[in-house]
Amino acid sequence: MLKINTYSQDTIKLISLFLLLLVIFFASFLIGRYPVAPDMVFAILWGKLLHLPQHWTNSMETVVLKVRLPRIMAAILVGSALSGAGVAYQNLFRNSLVSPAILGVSAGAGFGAALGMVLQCSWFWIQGMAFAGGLIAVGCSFGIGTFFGNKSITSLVLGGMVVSALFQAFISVLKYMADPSDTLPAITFWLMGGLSKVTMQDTLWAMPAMTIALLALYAIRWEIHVLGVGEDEAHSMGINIRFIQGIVIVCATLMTAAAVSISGIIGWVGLLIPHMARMLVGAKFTQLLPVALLMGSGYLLLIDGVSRSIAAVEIPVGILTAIIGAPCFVFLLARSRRTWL
Amino acid sequence: MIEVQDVCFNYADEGNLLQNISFSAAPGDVVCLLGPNGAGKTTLLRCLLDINKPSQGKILVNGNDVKTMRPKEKAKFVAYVPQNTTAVFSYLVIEVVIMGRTPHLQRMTTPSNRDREIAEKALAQLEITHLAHRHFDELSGGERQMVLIARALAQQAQILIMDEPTASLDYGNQVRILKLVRMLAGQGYTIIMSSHFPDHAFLSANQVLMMQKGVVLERGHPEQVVTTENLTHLYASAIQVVEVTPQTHSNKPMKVCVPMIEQEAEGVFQAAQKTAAFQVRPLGSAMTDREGNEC
Repeated sequence: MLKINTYSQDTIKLISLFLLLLVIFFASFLIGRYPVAPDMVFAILWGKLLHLPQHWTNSMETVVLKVRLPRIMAAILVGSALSGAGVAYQNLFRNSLVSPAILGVSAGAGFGAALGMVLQCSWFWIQGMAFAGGLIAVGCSFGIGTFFGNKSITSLVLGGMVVSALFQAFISVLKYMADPSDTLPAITFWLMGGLSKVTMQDTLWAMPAMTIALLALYAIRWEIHVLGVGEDEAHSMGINIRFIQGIVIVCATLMTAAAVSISGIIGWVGLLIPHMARMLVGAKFTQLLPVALLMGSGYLLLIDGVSRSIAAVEIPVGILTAIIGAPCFVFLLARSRRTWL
Repeated sequence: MIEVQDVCFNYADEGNLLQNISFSAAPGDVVCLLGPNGAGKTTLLRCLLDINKPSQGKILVNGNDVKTMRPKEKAKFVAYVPQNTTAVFSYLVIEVVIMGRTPHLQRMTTPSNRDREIAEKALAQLEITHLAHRHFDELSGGERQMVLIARALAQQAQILIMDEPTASLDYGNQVRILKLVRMLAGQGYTIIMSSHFPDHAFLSANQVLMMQKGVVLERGHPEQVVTTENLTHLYASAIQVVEVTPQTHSNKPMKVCVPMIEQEAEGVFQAAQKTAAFQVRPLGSAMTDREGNEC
């Protein structure tokens, strides 16, 4: 009796989250300066999907397909990538205070982007450098943990802290040197994170890395789940520890670097969403991963909607994720009182 | 069947933590490791689990060298019952037990209903089905130990490695675990466990390894090995093994170990030290592992 309940309950939660995401997805098309009626949004999306004859204005199509759709896609991708990476890292490090930035990927990407801006590169190259910077930083952390530490998870985390601090300092150097009239604000805005500059092309560039990494994480979801009880026990149950740890680090890094390269540094999502997911479905990683992905994309969509509608000027998403996320989190913490940690 | 042949172990720059350990255990055997803190009991168990890689010697499981076995294959033969799991997340008991099915899963899949049934059967066998939907981290020490044993049973490995299964349990739970160990041995499991209570060797084991500073001092049936002289020497305190006859139907005598705390016992201790049947080979001084824990 009980077992049927828990199984179907999890499925119900998953389906309701998906429906919720769908609602937020369509609602997001309505948000913005230029008003588009809900039926028009459906008409344009369906029409383009099925190649129906156009019976809407060109400006409407531009708003829906060129302005809002890329941004919505990007929010879904970035939200799910950050949450997926966060939940995988928390299981890997067996610590619920870990965020995707733990191994220095954000600091590295920030440095890459800032360098690109100082060197006056095109937007495409800035994104490329951010992505590369993220990967290089995690590579450094891994190298420090492996060659200077004792190859344990702790030395890896220490490596990440060192590398983060170093790249943060490099970012400060670049900011100090940057032209205060245009480059410095650009760097500062980028570091706050936001989706206002995202184009469809960016989204399509980031998508393969994220999808492949996500699928790989999904393939080893049970192994990651078992790793949650500790290395020795997981080893005794037949898990190839180093192999699984390696895959998780590579995948989470790819996902985060791809997300950060198109959106800048959006903090808090990768920390908050895994917790909320754990409140909802418990500690089982196989359930946690899909739930975190759905919640992460829904959350970022919602926040992005707020960011472009709440004031006349757009507020960077990275600021709002914390301003809205922190009180929400405290509220949930007070409400639940259960030890999902 | 597990055979340990001449195993040595050391961390890179330190002296041997284990030196020339050999023993074997067949189905139905219960091997009890006795020895003071830092004797190398846990280090040896970790070698058997292939967590520590022996620097010399071989460990054979059903004739296969564990070094050459893939982790998944090995996990089908050897299961681990830790003192307490290091899990930080709040898992349900049934989820913990199902994890034992890991070595039997196909790649990229999660446990099926059949795996779930096997896990439920393991819980039923230990009569803890009522715990299935409790949170593991909210259980008492005794209950946790039972759940971890259930997980090992769900793993369906014939060799169980138990690291101090009775540590930090109350007296009743200790007795329950020892009964369980005997029952499992009766079903054909091989159990290798460590203990800080020499009495447990009498109660559950048919083979004792007395370890000190990484060396096996004595090996054999508890009746022959767990003696006043050996215990007194092993733990460097006066301990007497006495025979008592509890009032049962058979009136079968039992041996128990009694620590001699009274002053007069000092004399016994010194006499025992003189007549000790063995000599400890002096080894490297550092006998703790890197974290300073006993090993």
